[in-house]
Parts: sequence; C-alpha cells; structure tokens
Amino acid sequence: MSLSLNEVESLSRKAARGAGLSWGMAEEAGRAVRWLEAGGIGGADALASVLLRHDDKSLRAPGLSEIRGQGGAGDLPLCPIATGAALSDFGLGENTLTLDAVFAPILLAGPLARVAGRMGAELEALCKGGALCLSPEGMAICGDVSPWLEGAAIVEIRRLTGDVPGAPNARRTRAHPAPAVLDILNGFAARTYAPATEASRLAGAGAGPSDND
Amino acid sequence: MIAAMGDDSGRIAPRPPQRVMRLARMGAAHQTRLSFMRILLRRMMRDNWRFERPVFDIGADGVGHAVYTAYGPERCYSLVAFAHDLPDEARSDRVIAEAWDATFTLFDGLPDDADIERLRANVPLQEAGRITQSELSLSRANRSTRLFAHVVERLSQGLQPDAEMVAAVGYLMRTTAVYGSGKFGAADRECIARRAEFSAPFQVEMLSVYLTRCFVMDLVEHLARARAPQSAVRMDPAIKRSFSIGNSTGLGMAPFLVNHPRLLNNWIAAREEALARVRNLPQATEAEVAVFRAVLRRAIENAGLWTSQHPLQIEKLDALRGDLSRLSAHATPERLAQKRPWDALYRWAEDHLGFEGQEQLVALLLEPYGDLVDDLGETMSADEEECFAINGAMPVGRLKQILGDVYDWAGQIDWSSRAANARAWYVSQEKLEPRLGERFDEPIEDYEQPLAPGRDAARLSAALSGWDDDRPVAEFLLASPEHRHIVRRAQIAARFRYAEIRDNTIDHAMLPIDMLRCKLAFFGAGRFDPRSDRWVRINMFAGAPFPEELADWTDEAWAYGAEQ
Repeated sequence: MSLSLNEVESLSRKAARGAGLSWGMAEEAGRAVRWLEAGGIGGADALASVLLRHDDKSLRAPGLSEIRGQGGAGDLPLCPIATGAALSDFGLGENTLTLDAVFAPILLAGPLARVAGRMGAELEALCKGGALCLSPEGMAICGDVSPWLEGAAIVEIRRLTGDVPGAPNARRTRAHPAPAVLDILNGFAARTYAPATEASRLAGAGAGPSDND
Repeated sequence: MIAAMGDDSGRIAPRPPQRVMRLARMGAAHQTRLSFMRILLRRMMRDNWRFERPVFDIGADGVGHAVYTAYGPERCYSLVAFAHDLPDEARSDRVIAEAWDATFTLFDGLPDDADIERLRANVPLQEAGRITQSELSLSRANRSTRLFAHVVERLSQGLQPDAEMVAAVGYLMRTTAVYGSGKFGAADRECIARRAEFSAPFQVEMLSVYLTRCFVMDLVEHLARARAPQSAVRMDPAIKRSFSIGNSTGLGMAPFLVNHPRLLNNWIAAREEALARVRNLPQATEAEVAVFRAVLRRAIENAGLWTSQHPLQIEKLDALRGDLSRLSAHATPERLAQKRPWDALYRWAEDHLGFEGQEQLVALLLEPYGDLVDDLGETMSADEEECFAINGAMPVGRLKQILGDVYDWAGQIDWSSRAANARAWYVSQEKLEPRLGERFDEPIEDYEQPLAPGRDAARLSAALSGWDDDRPVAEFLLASPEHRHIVRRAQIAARFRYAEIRDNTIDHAMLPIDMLRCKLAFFGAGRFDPRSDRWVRINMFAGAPFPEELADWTDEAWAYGAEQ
C-alpha cells in the first residue's frame, strides 16, 4: 500500500504509544520512521520489529555513561528510539562512540542526521560491515545496511574523516510498508483507541441525534 | 507587561500572549484580511486565475459527476465532484456517517478518464477509500434539505428563492469534513508547500471549498432546468453571492491547535503584528477613516443577520451588537482625526467593550490597510520539522524559568481538584474520532491524548524541583522520558510566544467551541452557530465573488456581506 509520509509518521507514533512508549518518545519514533521512509528505507519495518521487542520488555534505554562513551552495558539490547533520542539530546563528542548491541540500529539514522545538522559536520555510523554517512543534506549508504533493520549489533559512530561516499539517497514522497508490517503497527496503534460506548458516541463528539436543517 | 506598553522607540508592541491566548478571547475571534479564504481570493484576483468546467455529467436525478478546473499562472487544479442520491434518513453530518449527498477531491492538474474512474471507486467512500499523491484533498457535503428543495422549486417556477429562507440557512450544502495534508493517501503538504499558490496555510482546502460552492450553485440551477426546462430561470447574481458553503465542525478540529503549536503561533503572530502596525500609525487619512466606518456598518449589518439557537452564542451576539453600536457611536471622524487614532480607539475598546467587540474591532482596524498588513499572510505557514529537536544542552534552570514564564497560569491551578481534571481527550476505536470525555465517569483515562499542556507543565515543574539548575535537560529526559512531550512543547513555546493556549484544556468548564472558533476564524468563516459546547455550524465564502466575477471585483471586504 502507498502511504503518504504523514500517514506513516502518524501510524508509527500511535503504534509506539500503543506499545508503551511515552508520548514524547512515540513522537521520536514517528519522526525517525518518516525520515527513513523519505530516504527509501523501510523504517516502518524496523519499527514494527522494535515494538514487538518492547512488548516482550526485551529492550532497554541507554544509561548516562553509555551515551557519554564511558562504557557500561546491560543484558538487553538498546532500544533504537530511546538511544536515538538520547544521541539527539546529548550530541556527540570528538571520540568514536561505540554502542553495544543496538536493536534495529537503522532507526538511529534520523536522529544522527539531526545531530550532524546541528554540528554542521558529516557523521559516519558503522555496523555489520555496512556504513551510513549522515550529513545535514541527508544520508549516503555504503555497503549493505539491510541487516540494520532487525536484530541487535554493535554500532560505531564517529565524525567522517574522508570524503562523503557517494550521493545522498534520493528523497521519496511515499512509503510502501508490507501488509504484515502495517498489521503489526495497526495492532499496536489500536491499543490507543478507547472502546466506544453509546454514551461516548453522543456526548463525546457532542452531536445530537439529527443534524438536518 | 512592559513589552505591551511599547519599547524604547515608543512603538506599540503586539498584544502579549497572556492576553491573547486565553480561550474566552480566542472564542471571540473574527475573520480578518489575513484569513485564508481572503488570502486565496486576493491571489486569484491578482494573478487572473481562469476557471473552466470541462465536465458536468449529472442527470435529472442529480446523480453523476462534474469537474471544475482552476488555472493559476503555472499550474491548474481540478475539483472532481460526485453527486449522489441520498435518502433523507441517511443524511448525517457526523464523522461516523457512511454516505453523503456529494463527495469531492481536489486533483493536482487535469484528470483523464482513468483518473476519474479510479476516483469514482474511492472518493464516494471517503475514509473507507484510498486516494493518491495526485489528489490534494478529500471532502464531502450534505444538502440543507429544506433550502435545497425550496431553491430548486422556485427556480424551476421562474422565481427567485425567498430571501428570508436564504438568510435563515445561508447555504445549500454544508461540508462535514475537508481533509488535506496526506490524509487517506493524499499528497503530503511538503509536496506542494513550495508552490506560491499554496504557501499560505490551508489554501488547498479553501480552493476546494470555493470550487464546491460553484458546483453546488450550478447543481441547483441544473436541477431546476431539468424539472421545468420552459420556465426555469438562473439565480440572480446578488442572491447567488449571498450563499455560502456551510460547514459542520466537530471536536476533531480542536486538538489541531494544540498539536501544531508553531503553526498556531504564526497565525496569531501575523494578526497581532498587523494590529500593532495599524495601532502605530501616527494618523489616519479621511479615506482610511471612511473605509473603516463603511466596513463597521457592514459588520453591524452582519451581526444583525447572524442568528443562533445556542444560549451561549445568543449571549455573545447580544454582546457583539451592543459593542458594535457603542463602537459606532464612539468612532467618529472627529476622534479618528486625532494622533494615533487607531491605538486610541483600540485602548478605548479594551476599557469599554467585551471580547466580541474587541476582537471584531481588531479585524475592522486591518480593513483599510491592505498595503500595510497583507504581506503578513506570507508568514503564516510553519516549518514544524525545524522545531522538533529538543535542545538537550539547555540547563534545567532555564527550563524552570520557561515554565514560570509560559505556564505560570498552570502553576496557579489546583491540579488535585476534580474540576481541573474533569475531562480527558481520547480517540474512539470506532471511526478514530477525537472525543472529549469525563475522566471520572468514563473508562477513558488509559487512552488519554497529550492535549493538556497546562497539567503536564505543572507535573514537569514538580519533577524538576529536585534537579540542580546547572544540569542539562538531556540528563533529566534520560531519567524521565515521560516528560519528553511537554519539554519539547515548552522549548517551542519559549521561542514562539503565541504557541501555547494559556488555559486549562481539560477543565470541567472548558468550551471546545472556543478552540473551534479561533481556528475557523483564521480560515475566514463567519456566522458561527454552535449546536452544543463541542460542535459548530459556520458559513464559508458567503458574499464572495464567483469565478466569472473575479476579474472586475473590487470589494475587498466581501466577507462582511453585501454593501447595503
């Protein structure tokens, strides 16, 4: 199905909230997915697998020392939404930041592009043999980043020292998530909807039984 | 409050947000020169837009489709209208309706036959169908049963419609939803935002409604002719112009203002800057005073014709009429010949008129000064992406200061009281419609939407109290992700002074129609007629020239109704 980017963002935000993320964090999820889909990468797929892990409580948020590059780790993989939000909030220092086991690390791309924009610099994220170059202009991909959409892996983030490897991804204006992905996201989103009652149907929206003149 | 008094240069500053962003005042907003319908019409007149009706394939039974195409300087847009045969008992304005008298989409360009067939399979279904990036809006409308039948009947008999009946209802069809911006598969706003004709907010939706009005007027004339080809007449142009497109707006619109803080800021800031520019004028020419007094007379007429059954609105209308009559007596040419006349008049109004009169005056003061204020229409859109990122480096002390400045009113509310927390905004499972419920009487709290910034700011304030002022906000958010939403809002509100409504949006006495009216006034709507505390009927484009009249049209103040 062809979705507008507004639709995929809004669905992602609701789904993230339905999976138990705070509203502010759910907004980050929506934005991260939109950013990826606009770059032609299946951000909605990645979010669906993240939310399923959230449902199992098998992801965690990063600690202060981890985000500052001072080590520390936990038993569970890092949630890419919480990690992306923390990277966006804290920014990056001069040294390479190594994060142990980030789940679906592709979702870090949007927040890192934001950090790159703020620094006016190019950043490089390395994982599973692929690399993403994130600049204020967008994202360039080196190698295969498809494994970044699922599973957990170590991610290294640093300033890019050489040239930007290739042109940024072409921007897309639509998203095409697979039906199974939409089902997962719609399922989580449905948890944010209150079951209707006849009372709420009338009182909640405020209309009387007849609208005719 | 120093800022409100003027800066060092003696310039009168825009009104402060503490005064402007209160729901009672927002609920007294009126259309102005900067309303989106008026921006659209000014552009179409200035750029000599051309209009065609390439298809009008509608039978004597009123069923079929039509295409209306508007040609701007670079691009064209087509309203594709589907007319249906809807039994009276199936007609409902609720979002939960499943059939309508007519359904529409605004197509980007000129649709071919394949487009029409694709749209015919989807547009009549509305929310249950899918449109594509070639479509910019999706909407539907229902007939005003009584007036529609009357107008067809009279025209078919060779007579014009009864003036009193026309005035009592004001429209032949009312839209019950106009969706844009990527809804149901339509093109995202980003796809068209750089086009000059859509740079101001809601121009797609306004163009769609404007063309819908053309379609509806053609439809009644067509049905009259089909009924009695020998005797039927066309409608008198002046009567035709008095028809609006009605609109029935429910709660769905209210959260919009809270969900788009920077956009709300830009709308309000444009109007407030326009007012400040006029108040700063050292004097007014006789011609400017004449324009003001003429539009004031029309506003008085308009207030006289504006009716409502709702007790709250009846009270407001009485207040408006009283205010306008005092204003008219006070705003004499002699008084307006003095120094800084408009500022003096505005300050007099603050002391002597209610919110209805004050806000009507704000609109009237802009009328003589298109050259001075119309450029502000270009500032009313917003890049919301730009303010999404949280500034994590901000010290906690600065965030506390923002909470004190922007949300001081929330700190004075007793949030442990039931009255202050009485309501919760939620989305219903059925039709995904935003609703407002009673928190303590209904099982809705678990589904609450983040639409209570005042309460959330008070909670944030409490959570921050144990934090050292020097630590960065990023550390606080890592420890307390549940406050992320309100921290983002607070940082936006600190940069954009009109971004936040300064009232409790979940209070037991809160009136959602105040939020609706503010938004609809910026659209350019008139004759607000609330049917409850949470939905409102309005008129759109009443008095506006039709496409064939645009070339010679000179009356900028059409939105106040015909000159008497």
